Order: sequence, then structure tokens, then C-alpha cells
Amino acid sequence: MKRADSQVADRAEEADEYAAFALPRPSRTLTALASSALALPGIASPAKADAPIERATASSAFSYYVEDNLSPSDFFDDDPGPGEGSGSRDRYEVYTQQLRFDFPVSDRFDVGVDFLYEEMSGASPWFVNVQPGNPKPLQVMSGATIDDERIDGTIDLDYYMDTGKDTFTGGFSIERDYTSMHFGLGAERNFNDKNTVLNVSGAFSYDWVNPTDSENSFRPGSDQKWGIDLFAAMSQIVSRAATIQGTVNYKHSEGFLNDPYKAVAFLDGRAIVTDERPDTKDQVSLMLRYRHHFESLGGSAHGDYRFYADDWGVISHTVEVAWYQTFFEWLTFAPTVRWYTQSKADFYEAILPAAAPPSERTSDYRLSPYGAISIKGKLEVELKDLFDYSPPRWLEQIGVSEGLDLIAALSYERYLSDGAFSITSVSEFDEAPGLVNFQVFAFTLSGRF
Amino acid sequence: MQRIVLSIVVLSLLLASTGCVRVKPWERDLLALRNMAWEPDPVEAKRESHIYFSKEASMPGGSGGGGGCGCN
Repeated sequence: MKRADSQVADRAEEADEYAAFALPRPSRTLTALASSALALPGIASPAKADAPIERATASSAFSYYVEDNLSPSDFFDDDPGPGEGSGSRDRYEVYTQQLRFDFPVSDRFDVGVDFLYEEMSGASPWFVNVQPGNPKPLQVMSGATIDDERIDGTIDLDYYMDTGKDTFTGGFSIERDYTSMHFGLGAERNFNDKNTVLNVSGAFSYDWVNPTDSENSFRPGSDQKWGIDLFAAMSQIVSRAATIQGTVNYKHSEGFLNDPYKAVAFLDGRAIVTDERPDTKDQVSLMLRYRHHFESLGGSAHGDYRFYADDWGVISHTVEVAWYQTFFEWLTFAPTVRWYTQSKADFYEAILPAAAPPSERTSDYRLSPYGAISIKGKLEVELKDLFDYSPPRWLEQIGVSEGLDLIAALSYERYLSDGAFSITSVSEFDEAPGLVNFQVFAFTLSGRF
Repeated sequence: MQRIVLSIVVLSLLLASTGCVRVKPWERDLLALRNMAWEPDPVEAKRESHIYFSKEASMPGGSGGGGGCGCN
């Protein structure tokens, strides 16, 4: 058991403020009085303090994502088209491994590094068709099972000053048929004795698309797109136990924005045509977030609302509420409910009428009108000061201290989408037969050194 | 477009109206609890954001930047 004074020092080191709400760095005693619990490793949100993190953290997460098989009543099971066999109802499953490391490198800098590896397999929606004598739209699935891997890496470098910090971000994502690179710059400043925090950032991304089976006349050999992303956020302390944040996000994309693996069919059974979308896309997202801790209950309430709109005609609303309940100071249970609703893109048509095809068209269920409800649950155990350890000097310089705090978490999510969950009524002909339901199982292990 | 501008104005006014609060540093113990963070688990937040981005038409909106993938 550690002595009381070293425990105070530990608390001082633990004062991993949530940005504006942290104390000035200089005084360990003042920091100890704040008696903050730590923020988890890899704080990716804008709310970070004007001092580097003091202890190195590492996080490892494994997750399994699995979609429900397509219902037989939504599945088009005749020979779908030229060169392909019948599709499969077995939809996507993805195994994902994530790693994250955060550590200070000096009095002014800290670094965050993020890795992700995932393996994906399963059939994918291709186009929508009808059977003779039955007007109900049915989903045609890809024939062969898709097997692919994705590797994703991101690095964040933070430079701290008295009133805030500046951030550089860079990263990549690589798959067999897709490569994406991005980099960005951000700035955070504190005001009103750190009761208010303002964040702005800008990022640029460039993607290369190399569809498989490009010798198929439907798909391009290769193409590119780029995007600019602008973000601003303001966080404000409302009271001793509550905070509020508003964010605005704008993105402009240009280039090849079609889905090369999707197509659109006609009611009269003529040959299918390619998915064709505009060459540009402008998106805006506004979010309002609220956090409130109820001291007498030992729990915190989270409420998030997001409004989204783009110039393809999609408007969406997202509401997410969660409750974080702590028991015995080391066990947390956090149930979450999320509701999502979106309108359709202007050029969405499940099946085209018997006429000349429009220049812009898609049957992609992700651009169809629908709503989704998601229920999540997370159970987390936090174990502090697991053992005493005297690290060598070089480890101390990157934030490894005298002990280990461990956090282990198990989570589960069930996501259901349907036209009936939409905020507006969705016609039977507009409702995509390929709407997806899925589950996610995840296990996370995090350490603060 | 008008709706978006109006929403931004209302959001800003709402936030600005809370600017009169001054919570002292020594009163911020509850605010610094891990479960009071905007994203208590950033690794989980990244995973969820990627899943919703892949399966829905909207962009995450929680933070700027980040590249694309073949999933959408």
C-alpha cells in the first residue's frame, strides 16, 4: 500500500483534466485538490488540457461486427445478371483489432498513435429487382463472398501553451481496392478562467479507388476523390456538475463519389446500369452535447443530438442518451439508446421506371429513407494501483510512472433499421429491402502506466 | 440553407448564454470524472463512428478530419 503523500502525488499526476475544466499545470497541490479521475487513454475529443498528459496510456480493443442474414422475404434469389451466380443472403461480418498509445514527449508535447486492423467477409447488396407479378422490391446480393482486410493508422501531435494547444493529425487507411490519406491542423484556446474552450480544425483527405474486377465494363479501372473538412466546437461549463458543447462540421468532397459495386435495375427488366452520383458533395453537421453528473446517485447522464444535411438531399437527425452508473468506485454500467432517422437522397430510386435512366441514380439502401434504433450496454471494471514499479529513466520521460491502473470493458450493441423507425412515413416502394440489422461485441483493455 | 444558419445562430446564443458561469478550479472535481467526458472511451468512439459512417448516409460530426474507406 502506498504512503499517503505518494497517493497525493499520484492524484496530482492523475489530474488529466478534461480540457477547460483542468487546473493550471504548475501546482501539484492544486491539481491534487481537483482530485480528478483520469480521462481514458487517447483522448481524441477536442476537450484536452493546456498541458501534456502526464502518464503514458495504452489501449487494446477487439470487436466482432455481424449483420443479420438477409431475410428470405427480401431476397431476390433468381439468377441476378450477366456473369454472376445467385447472390448470398450471408451478409457482412468484421473482426477488428484496435491499439492506441498516448504518451508525453516533453513539457510541451504529447503524441497519440492509433492502429486498426480488420478482416471483412460476406455478401453485399448489389441492386434491387422485382419478380414477375410481384411489385415488392427485393434485394439482389453479390454472388461471391467478399474477403478483404483494412489497415488504418493515425498520429496526433499536440503542442501545449498557456492558453491552449495546437494539434497536427495525419493518417491513412489501406484496403485491397481503396487507399485514403489525410492530414489536418487544429487549435484549442481556453477563456473565462478555462470555463470556455474553443476548438477549430481543418483537414484534407485524398482517396484512391481501385475497384476489383475492373475488366467488368461496369467498373472504372481506378479513380480518385478528395475532401476538405472544417470543424469548430465550443465547450462551456454550465455548473459544478454539468457541461455543454456545440459543434459545427462542414465537408466538401469532389471526384469519384459513386459506389462501383452497386447498380440500378429497371422495372421492365432491361439491362442494369451503374450507380451514378454527383461529382461533388457538401455536408454540414451540427451537434449539441450535454453531460450532467448526479452526485447523490453516483451517475452521469449523457445527451447528444446531431442534425445533418447535404446537397444530395439527405437530412438526418440523431439522438443518443446514455447513463453511466458507478458502483463501489470500480464498477461502471453504461446503457445507451440511440435513434437515427434519415431522408432519401434526391437521386435514390429502388428500381427505375421503364424510361431513359436519369444521369444520377442509386439503389443503395444507405441513401434510402429509413430510421434506426440501437441499444447498447457496457460493463467496465477499473483497478487502480495494481502493483508498484520503479521504471528506468527513459520510460519515466515518456510518462511511465510507479504503478499500473487497468480498465477492462465488455460491450454489446444491437442495431435495427426499418422504414417504420423514420421520423416521416416511408412508402413500401421507397423502403430499401437491403436495410441492415447488426450486432457488435467488443472487449477493451486499457492501461495507465 | 436558411435552416442551417438559423440553427448555428441559436446554438451559439445558447452556448453564449452560459458564459456567465464561473466555476473555480477547485470546484471542478465532478467535471473531471472520466464518465463526464465527451467521449469516455475514444477507442470505442472511433469504432462506433466508423460503423455508423459505413452504414448510414451522415458524417460523424463529432470532430473534424479523418480519412475515408471503401466501406462507404
